[in-house]
Amino acid sequence: MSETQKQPAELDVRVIPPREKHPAIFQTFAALQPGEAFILVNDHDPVPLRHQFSFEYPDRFGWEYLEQGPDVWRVRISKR
Amino acid sequence: MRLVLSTAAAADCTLDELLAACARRGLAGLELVSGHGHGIGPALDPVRLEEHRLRAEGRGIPIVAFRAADRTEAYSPAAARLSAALRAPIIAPRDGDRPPEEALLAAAATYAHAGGTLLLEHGSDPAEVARLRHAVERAPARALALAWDVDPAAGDVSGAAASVLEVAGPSLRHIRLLGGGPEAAQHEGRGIGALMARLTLRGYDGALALAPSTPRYRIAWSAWLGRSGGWGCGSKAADPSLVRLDRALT
Repeated sequence: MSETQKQPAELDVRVIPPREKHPAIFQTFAALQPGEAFILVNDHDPVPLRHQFSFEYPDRFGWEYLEQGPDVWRVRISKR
Repeated sequence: MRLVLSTAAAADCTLDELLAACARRGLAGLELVSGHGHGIGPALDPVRLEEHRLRAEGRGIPIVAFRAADRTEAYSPAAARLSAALRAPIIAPRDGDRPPEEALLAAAATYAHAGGTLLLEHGSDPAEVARLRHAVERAPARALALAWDVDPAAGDVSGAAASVLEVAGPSLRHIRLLGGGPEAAQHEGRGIGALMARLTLRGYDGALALAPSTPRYRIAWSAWLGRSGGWGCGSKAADPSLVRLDRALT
C-alpha cells in the first residue's frame, strides 16, 4: 500500500528517555520501505533531529511539519 | 497511537481540571480510574454521563477508557452500561490470579448485550496474553479486548514487547505505561524507545496511557501537569505532600 493510501503510524517520543529518542526514531526510519512514512510527535521543535537526518540520509528523507507547537510538534518523516 | 493521561496522575482533579491539564500537555484523551475526583462511575445517572462524555469530546480530549477498581466492578452490568454510555471500554485490572473462565464469559455476554467493551488487563508474560486472547476470541464480537500494563521498573520491556505484541495481535486496544510523564528520564535502558518504535512499525492505533509508577512521584506529576501552587485541585493546605515539600525547602 502506498503512503498516500495509508495513514502513517505515529511515534510519540515524549515518553522515551532523552538518550533513547534518536535511536528509536532512526530505528523506525530504517524499517520503512521507500515511499513509507511515520509521524513523529514531540514536545519541542526537533531541529537537531532534522540536521542529523540531513547528515545521515542526505536527500533520502522527507520532512513535513503537520503541527508546530506550542505544546506539541508533529512532523511527517518519509523515506524516499 | 494516542498518548493519554491516566487520572492516577491526578486523583483529586475534577473532569474539567483534567481536561485542562491534558490540553496543557498536548495529551489526546483520558483514562479514568474508578473512585477518583472526576466523579464518573457506574452509579452516575445516564444524563450526567452523557454530559461528561460530550464535554470531554468537545474539548478534543475524549474519555478513552475507564479502569474499574477490581474485577467485581468491571464484570458488573452497571459497568457494561457505563462502557456503552461513555463509548469507551472498561478495564478489568489484574487481581493477581486468573479470572475464572465462567465469570469472564458471563461478563462478555453482559457487555455484548449492553453494547460495551471489556478490556482484560495483562502483564508482559506471553502465556498470560495468549490465555486472555483465547477468551477474547471465544467471546461475542467486540465484547472483549486486551489492555497491556507495562511496568519498566520490572525490567527491560523491549524483550517482551515483540512476543506480547505478536500474541495479542489486533486484540490489543489499550496500553498503560507506568512511569511516563515526569518519570520518563528515569527509565533509560528499560527498552521504552524500542517499545515505542515497535508499536509504530506495527501500526498500533490504540491509546497509551501515562500513569505514575508510584504515589511517591505525586509532586513531580503535579508540576508536570501544571498544577504548581494549585489551579483548582485542592490547595497546599489540603495537600500534605505539598506542605512537606514547602517545609523541606525553607
